Amino acid sequence: MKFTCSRDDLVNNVSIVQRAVTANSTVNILNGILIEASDDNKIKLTGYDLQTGIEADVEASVTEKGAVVIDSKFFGDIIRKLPEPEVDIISDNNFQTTIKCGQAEFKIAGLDPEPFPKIPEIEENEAEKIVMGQKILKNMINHTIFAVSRDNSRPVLTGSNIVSDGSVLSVVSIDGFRMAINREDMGNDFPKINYIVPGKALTEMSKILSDDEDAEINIYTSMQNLLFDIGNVRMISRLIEGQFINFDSIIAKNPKTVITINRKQFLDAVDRASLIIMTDDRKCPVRFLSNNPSELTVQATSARGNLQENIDISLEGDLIDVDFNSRYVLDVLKNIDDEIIKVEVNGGQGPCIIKPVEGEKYIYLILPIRR
Amino acid sequence: MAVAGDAEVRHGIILAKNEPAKKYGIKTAEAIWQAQAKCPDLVLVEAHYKKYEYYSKKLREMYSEYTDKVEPFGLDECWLDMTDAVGDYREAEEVALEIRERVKKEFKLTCSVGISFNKVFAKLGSDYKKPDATTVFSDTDWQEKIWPMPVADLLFVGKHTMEKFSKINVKTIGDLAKTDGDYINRYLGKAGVMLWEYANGLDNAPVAESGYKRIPKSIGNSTTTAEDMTSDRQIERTLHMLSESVAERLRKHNLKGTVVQITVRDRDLSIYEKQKVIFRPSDDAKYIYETARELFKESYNWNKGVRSIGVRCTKLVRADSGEQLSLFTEIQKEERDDKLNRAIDDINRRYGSNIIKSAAEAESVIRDNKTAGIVSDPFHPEDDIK
Repeated sequence: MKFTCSRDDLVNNVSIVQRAVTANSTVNILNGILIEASDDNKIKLTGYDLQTGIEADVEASVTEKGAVVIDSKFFGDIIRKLPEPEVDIISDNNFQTTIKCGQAEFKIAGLDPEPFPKIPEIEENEAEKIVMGQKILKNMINHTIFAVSRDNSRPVLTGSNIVSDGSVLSVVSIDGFRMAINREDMGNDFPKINYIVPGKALTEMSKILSDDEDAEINIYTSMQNLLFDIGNVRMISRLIEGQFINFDSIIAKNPKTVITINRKQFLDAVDRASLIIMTDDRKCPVRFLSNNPSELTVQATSARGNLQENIDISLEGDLIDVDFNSRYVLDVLKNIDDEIIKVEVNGGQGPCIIKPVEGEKYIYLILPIRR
Repeated sequence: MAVAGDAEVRHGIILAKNEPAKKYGIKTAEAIWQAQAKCPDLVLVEAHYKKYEYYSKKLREMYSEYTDKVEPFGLDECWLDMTDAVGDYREAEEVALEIRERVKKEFKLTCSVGISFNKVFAKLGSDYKKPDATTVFSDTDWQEKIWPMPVADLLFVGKHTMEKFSKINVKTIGDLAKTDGDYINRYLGKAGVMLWEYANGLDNAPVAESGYKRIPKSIGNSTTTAEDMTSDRQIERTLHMLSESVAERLRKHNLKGTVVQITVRDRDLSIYEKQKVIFRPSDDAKYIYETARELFKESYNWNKGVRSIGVRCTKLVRADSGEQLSLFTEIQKEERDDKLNRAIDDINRRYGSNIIKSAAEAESVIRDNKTAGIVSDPFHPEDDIK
């Protein structure tokens, strides 16, 4: 194999495929990046940890076709330190690989690509296809990913549910203690879908997605797998099997208390309360208390001291006195852009729902700490 | 005579010995065969942990009639702060005599009492003359009596510290007291300074109020079975029993565990630990058991039989601190389970250990007794006393 390409293109795309390479797999070849030169004018890089795979095409002038696997971290470190903008990469029949750039010449051992696992293929004409804006998807992932469960005892919750009824697309994450829903109106031609995509794949995908309003992504799905295709980069992930939680049924319909509050003031008060909370090993809760319908008291008390702060609100229904994990509240308030928001409370043990004053573009749910 | 574990079930060590056995040089924790080599006529009796536990508790209850400041030291020793209860050493000696006579009459046991102005010297006094005596080290005669004693008699002076002391020619408690304190600090660090203070009569640690218990960092239980366990079923039964006891102890301390840990030792004595953070803090045996079983199944490949296994809960939190609710919290069921667990604990406390137990536990007791060749002898403390 022999090709010449741009150092910067190579560095950028190696960084992308590295997201799908396990750091220290006991299977040596899984720590590597597969480099394939099978066209005249591009090479393909592949990283695959058996769950998430990323392929990236890099423009290159290929003079001899072939393939090799090189240790991902080692290869990345080398190319980032190359001196000139153009790189020559040559690998011989024993996969001995030469990386030439300006006056620098690395000779490193590569691996036979034959045992490198094949990424599952999705037949694009047979698969379900969705086209949407990269920026929209990126936002939806970022606004919900924090509520994905890290506990493997309930596998379906380690992924986000991506579901559409034919016009509204929802991304939903639930870790059991809280839930995040983000909805977007996609118009009337949008397909009906229902997948559970691993949180890890979504986290990596959101970092690859562009903020450009016009950039589009094609999403293909088969029974077991899902392919995100943004042209030169493709990510494939297995889907999580199983039934996601019926999230609509969790959302309480007739809240006992509805509070309208300034998001920034609320966020800042809880942020100050967490200064007190962080001093305590037992992670004391943040307490929300209303003694009258126009004022909310945010309170935190630990062995080190306490914070008390009043915020003007308007409250309908029962006065409240509820404890929460401050981090859960902060995660939500940081992920909302609206100036004024609605907080629905259902007593000391019922779910609390945070959403916009109008509509249901997003819905966040947090369960309280029982005293 | 000595109390020993059962060699057939592989607990074959000396657990305790009486004064004549001590004269033969028999030491606690040595193997039975070593002890028998020193004293071929040694009479060995079986340990009755339940009885030991029961009498210890009864004695503590008796002590608390004299003062509310009773601090247990191990299971069978206690410090009693009599400062407010007696006027002088003579009155204290009278109380000591009364306690010794009551112990003899009510429990058919003997005990030794040490009286002094601090805890370390009181302990020294209780060890000074045994098995049924009172020793007084008063604030006027303590130097004369204590300083000639070997430094090894001092509380917390172990083998390691003794080696260090012998290197600087400290043999008696008096030698230590007269050594420069700064030097001891440099040579032995903080622990050395503590011993130096003890030797100089400077211990002033208070006797803890009764009811005071140190908050444990972890609560666990392990067992070596009579025969190597070779099936999931045997493991499950043992884990179940251990989980029950861990959960009961958690509830007794008003704590819940957030991490469940198992320790597995196989036939070749190689040992490993696995742990898992559980979904919510728990003091429920069923939940602890299920987590422990899962950990075992995930980690053990059954190449070898299992010799011993343990279950432990760590990262303990107070049971009454708030609990983060989850969508899966079945609040009513949980509160019901909680009440049930506490009711069982209460009954077991009132009518003796393990009147109520789970079917798996009961089954394993029967099985263990069979395999160990012990005739089941249920212990009824009330019958014994009255």
